Amino acid sequence: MRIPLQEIGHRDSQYERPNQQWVCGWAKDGNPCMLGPDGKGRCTVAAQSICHPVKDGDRWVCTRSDVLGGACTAGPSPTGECACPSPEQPPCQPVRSLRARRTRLTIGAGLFAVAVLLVWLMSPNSLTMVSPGTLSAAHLAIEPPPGVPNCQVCHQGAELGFGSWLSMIASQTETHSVEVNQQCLGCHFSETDQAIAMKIHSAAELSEISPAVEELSMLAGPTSFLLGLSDQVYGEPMLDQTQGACSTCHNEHEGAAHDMKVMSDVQCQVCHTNQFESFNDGHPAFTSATSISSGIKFDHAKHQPRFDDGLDCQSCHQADAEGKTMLVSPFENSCQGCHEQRSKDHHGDAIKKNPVPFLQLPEMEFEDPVYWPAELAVGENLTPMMTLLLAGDDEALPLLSEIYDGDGAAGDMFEWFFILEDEGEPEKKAQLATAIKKLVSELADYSSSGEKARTVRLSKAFSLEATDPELQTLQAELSAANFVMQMFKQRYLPQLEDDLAGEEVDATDDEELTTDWIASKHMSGWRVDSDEGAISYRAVAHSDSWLKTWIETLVKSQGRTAQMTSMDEMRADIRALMLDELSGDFKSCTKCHTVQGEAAPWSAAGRLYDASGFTKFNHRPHMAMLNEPGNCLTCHIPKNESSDASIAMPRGFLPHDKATCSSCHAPGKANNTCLNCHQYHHERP
Amino acid sequence: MSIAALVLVLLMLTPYVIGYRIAFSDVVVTSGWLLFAVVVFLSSYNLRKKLTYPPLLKSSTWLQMHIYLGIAAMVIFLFHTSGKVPTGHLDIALYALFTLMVASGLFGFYLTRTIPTTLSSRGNEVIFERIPLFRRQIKDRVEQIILQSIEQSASSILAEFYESYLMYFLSGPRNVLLHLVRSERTSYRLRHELRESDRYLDEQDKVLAAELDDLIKLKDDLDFHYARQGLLKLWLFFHIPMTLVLLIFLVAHIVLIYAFTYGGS
Repeated sequence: MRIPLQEIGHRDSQYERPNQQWVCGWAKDGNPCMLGPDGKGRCTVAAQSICHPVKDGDRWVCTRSDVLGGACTAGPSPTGECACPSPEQPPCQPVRSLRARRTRLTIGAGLFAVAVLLVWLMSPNSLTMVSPGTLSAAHLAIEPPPGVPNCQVCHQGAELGFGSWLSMIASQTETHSVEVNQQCLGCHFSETDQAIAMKIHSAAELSEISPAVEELSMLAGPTSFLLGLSDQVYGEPMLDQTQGACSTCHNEHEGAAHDMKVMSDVQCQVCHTNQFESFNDGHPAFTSATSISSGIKFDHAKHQPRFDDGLDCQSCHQADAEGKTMLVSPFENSCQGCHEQRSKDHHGDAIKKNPVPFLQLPEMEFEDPVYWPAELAVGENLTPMMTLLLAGDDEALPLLSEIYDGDGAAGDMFEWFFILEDEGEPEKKAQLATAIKKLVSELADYSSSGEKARTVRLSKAFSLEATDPELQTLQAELSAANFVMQMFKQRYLPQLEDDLAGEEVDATDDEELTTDWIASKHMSGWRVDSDEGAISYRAVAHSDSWLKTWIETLVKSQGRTAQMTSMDEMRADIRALMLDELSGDFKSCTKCHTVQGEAAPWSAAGRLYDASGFTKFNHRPHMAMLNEPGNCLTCHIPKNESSDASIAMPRGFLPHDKATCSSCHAPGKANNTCLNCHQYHHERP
Repeated sequence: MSIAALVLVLLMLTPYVIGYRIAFSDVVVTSGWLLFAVVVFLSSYNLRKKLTYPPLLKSSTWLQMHIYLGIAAMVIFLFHTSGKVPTGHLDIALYALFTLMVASGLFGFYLTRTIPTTLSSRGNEVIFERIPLFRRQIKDRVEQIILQSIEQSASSILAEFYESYLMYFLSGPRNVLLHLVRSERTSYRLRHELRESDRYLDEQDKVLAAELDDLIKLKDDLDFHYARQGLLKLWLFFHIPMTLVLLIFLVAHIVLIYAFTYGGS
């Protein structure tokens, strides 16, 4: 049986006021007064009992309400005073309502929270208290200047203190993340790369990475519903973003052991999701073969017979200290065994074949008497080295420009003579002879003035500063060959100094002054051909310093195009022509070494993963599993067809097979995340 | 309305759920501000309850939004913190506060979904503030019955029963903890005692004893309502003050984040 507790009806039911601050003190005993306390917590029971009589005609009427007991039977006094009986209920001590007590507790908790925060933020250890966590190990090692807290190295807020923190919010600008980025970029990127560090993949243009990557990055439109929905709400990601923060991907203050470089596949899939889901599901097949980015031309297929004889990969390749790069062992360890240099006569090995002509007096006939060894000067052309040295002579440069004019003589002396007919041929021949004699004199001059003259000549010829290390090395090599040049001068132009001094000399007198062969340790590698009137050089060993210095200086001078005068342009054209010529002459070097760009890549260091690039690979863990001879071929499959020897870098391997990798790098097996093989930053920090 | 709120929440969360734009926008800042906005909105529910005007949707609608956005806040919080517990003092405090708020919210959600059902299954629907009044009415009626019993039969059995058991039982809320676990053991025992004495009563007292039994049941139901409604109100004594503390710590967190976002000197 259910007994109803409350009557329905406004006269029979209390009117609850839960929003009021105070409630009747008798309420907890189930006997509250009808109206309850006033707003200030004062009991109103006394006031409730009395009424305020009103006059109805000539009579006073009681106005007490029904809920307070109704009109009293006695009624007001004749004078209009209330005569209601005193209330049965004594006055109470009002108490706060539940809501009021909750409000007070809330305010108290808030004040306590503010007090705790103020104590934290204003204490001497405030920076420790507000620190969001320990720095990563690398950043923890940064030593701040004496007296400066650690936080201040990166955060200006640490310097300004608690009083300024609030005001700093108001002064925030859109560039604040850029300012923070500068703290990171200053250490992690070169000054040049800082401009592109924040761009997509830290590449100026995506096409720089590879055309394939550019294609992969294109947002052709989301294929999934969720991506489409997000496109509608937020728009497409900005591919030209340059204002992002490093902290978008690299979170600091997460402990010394935290790896700030870790990213999730989801972060990559933001742009790449249209193309594939994972490495095992839709990742494009590899198009590149084994990367051989060293400057060495080496055809693995051509050396196949050696492998058949027992040579293995590790005979030439060893992992570096980190195991990332397979370094190529030096020539002495890897090549010399077969390409040996033991012959004493400098004629038994390919490295020492192919002499490079240095000086040769060209055959020229003169109308006026000119001191010139007509019988011994039989050269048909100027040698490339000689041409380069003559280019350092301002007076000879216009003549060289004519000789090497592609629309004219194109380097053929006799063609030049033919073109010159009736156009000052005698004078120009004499000028060229003078320039050559001046060059020979300078090369043979062992005094300090000769050294200075050679430095000036080289500086002009190669458009390099006189202090340039390569240029100084070449000058030193020329000085070392001074003795040979003196011999050349003595053999072919013994009266050269008198001639250049303006004295009248006769070439027929040269016979008596000619000297025979002179032996010297400085003669090593030099050859004087009496019949040809020439002097040439041949490498005496691998890494020959004379030829190496010439190549390095010449290669370095390529591409020097800033603020060029007309003469510089002429010299640059001549250098470009001579580099082609010398590539043929230097074939004892260029047969194995690639000479291109502004650096001479002598070493075969292999691919350096910390330089740049998008893909990374660590050989060490893979070699641990495949540590048997021949197992390198699991991934590096040689091409069997003969490679084209004319291309700069014969590659003797087939493209890597993705299946080889995905057989292990799969869900539940080895790591198959994007960052396992790729680095986000193309230009790496 | 509920479906619309759910769709709104999903729209807001979608980019985070699928990691959209994570690579090229500062998701921590975005999710932080979003989380702050959601917490402020959740906090405004209490203000809405105090406002009688203007009529900003029904309170039940606000409660629905409060629940959905509370769930959304949990998800955004996980993205904002990357699911990791921070190591800084202030951040740990903030993390603990938010976790407590989430736990409190989930507990409140459980209470609001379970208690009303149990209340409607027992006794009258009563307003919490009126429970003392009804308790007093029951007590008055029981005392009348006891006096009537003494007058009409000169038997002291019911009077002794009142003195031994009912006086204490009726003088205030009883068995609060037992009612929270929905145990009626005490009231059964009390009524069993009454029924055991039934054989010693005359016919008139038996009628009175039957009414006493109903009143004991009524008082027990009233205690049940008191305990359970009281728990609903007591929970707010934790949830609301903690909300203010959380907001204060959130503001401090935002101030510090922006103050320390500037680069070094």
